[in-house]
Amino acid sequence: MMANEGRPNRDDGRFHVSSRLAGESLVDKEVIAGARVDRDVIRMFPELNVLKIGAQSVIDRGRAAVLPIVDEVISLLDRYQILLGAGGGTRSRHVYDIGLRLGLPTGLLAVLGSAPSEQNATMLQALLAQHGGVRIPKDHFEEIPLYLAAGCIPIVTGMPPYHYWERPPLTGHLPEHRTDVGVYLIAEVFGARSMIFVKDEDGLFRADPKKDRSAEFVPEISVSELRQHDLDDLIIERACVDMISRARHCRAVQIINGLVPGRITAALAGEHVGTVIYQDGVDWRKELVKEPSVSA
Amino acid sequence: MPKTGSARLLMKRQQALDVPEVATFRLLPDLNVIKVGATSIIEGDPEPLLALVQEIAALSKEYQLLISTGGGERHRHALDIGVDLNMPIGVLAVIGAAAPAQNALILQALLASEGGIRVPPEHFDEIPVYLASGAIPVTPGMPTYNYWEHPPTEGELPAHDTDVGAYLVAETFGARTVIFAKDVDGVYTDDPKTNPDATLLTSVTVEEIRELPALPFDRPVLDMMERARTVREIRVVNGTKQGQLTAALAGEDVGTIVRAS
Repeated sequence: MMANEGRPNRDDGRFHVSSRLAGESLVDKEVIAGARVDRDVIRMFPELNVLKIGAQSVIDRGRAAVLPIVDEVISLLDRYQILLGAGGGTRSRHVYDIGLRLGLPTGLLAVLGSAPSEQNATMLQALLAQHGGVRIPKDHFEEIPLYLAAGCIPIVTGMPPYHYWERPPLTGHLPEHRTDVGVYLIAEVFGARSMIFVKDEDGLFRADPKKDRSAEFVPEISVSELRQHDLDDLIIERACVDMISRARHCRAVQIINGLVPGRITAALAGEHVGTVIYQDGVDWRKELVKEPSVSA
Repeated sequence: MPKTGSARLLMKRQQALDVPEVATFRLLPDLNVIKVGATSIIEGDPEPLLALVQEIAALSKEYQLLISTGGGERHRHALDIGVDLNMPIGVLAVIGAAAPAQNALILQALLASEGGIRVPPEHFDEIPVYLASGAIPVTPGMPTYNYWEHPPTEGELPAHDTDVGAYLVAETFGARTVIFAKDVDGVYTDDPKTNPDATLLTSVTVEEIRELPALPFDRPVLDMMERARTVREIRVVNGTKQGQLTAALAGEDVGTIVRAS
């Protein structure tokens, strides 16, 4: 069925734009059913690898952690398209702490929470400038193809732009959607080749490895298993796990220890070198890096 | 590793950081958010629209108002074509911002002589100035989820559309009220335009109307209301009937009131 089937009619003297999505509300039950077509969502950037550089885990450690990772990213540019997203880290937590004590609404905390990841993106861009690092603000995303074609490394703020529209969470007041969700959704909407979270742990453990050295490592785990375990410290945001469960493209992510040299390189080569979190029912081995088969 | 004054927070994760006992601060407790439907009002006959504009202008002398606009037929048309072209959900959300912004410009033009001023999302922190000067901020209803729109759990459309946007602005600002002005008298047991037996419900909870076949506002508003800290109820009135908005702002029983619980 063609989307714009039917002609605008003037029966009531007004010009109408006909579409299948009739009615006052877009989400009337019938409209939802009507829009549930079996469609093959396009992949805008099937060769792009999205790397989230953790802030608390990596950037806040300073040069000892950041410079080797930057060097490793540079060494990969001749083989891969890479987009970097920056986390917020300690300063985000600090401003949230102040805001929470003042009772500021979640939407305002989300606005405040953006600045630290913007600062971190700016610093990553500076470090990568001579290798084509370029800061991409949200309203310039349509220029990313140009930068990739020129061999550049787009660097983005991790925080999603929900701002005043960040919904209150079910418990507490902290924004549920922070930099993990923000960078992940870029990989998902772009139909990227891979989504890799670069942290300071080998991946997910059944207890906090910083407190319990015998904590058991989890090499791979499905979304529903992860939810069942209800681990206190998920290493990625809970809302990000929810997004993975809904994904059309980015159905598996890998969390790796960026402090170990070579891990990023291995992950981009499709190797399993950290914890994989995958959507229920998918063969995660095929999802670590996705073949750039463009469909439309 | 660099140390900062907030080093104590370094390893605290979400739960540890939360301070739930603090009451949520209301930024603009006197503000009334009015969502003006597009298909229902802005795209309808000029007479009821212009009458509503006059009513809003008169009410702005007495109340702080913020107008939020829907997208309407062009919005649906663009989304429809986008779905047909297999656009990712985030692209649908980006193209979905255009029609509500056009409608905001139209309402701003009609309200210009009364102080109507269009406020795009990046200028929201200027809203207090406009309110203090007696102006009427007019904002596009579409929230700024853009490329970051969530993959949907149902259907193929962005869940965060203009009704959700208007509601969340009110919730974040800690507004006095949020009123949805549509072209029906409120929430009915069924769509009153197709089912003559549908009856008006005047006072309902989110849970009571969740399964109704047709609602005059976008369904995800109900999910948002369940999370609300400041705006625990919404009112739906008929914006094409003169006086309903005025009555609603005066706290009178008009249209449908929907409570979070």
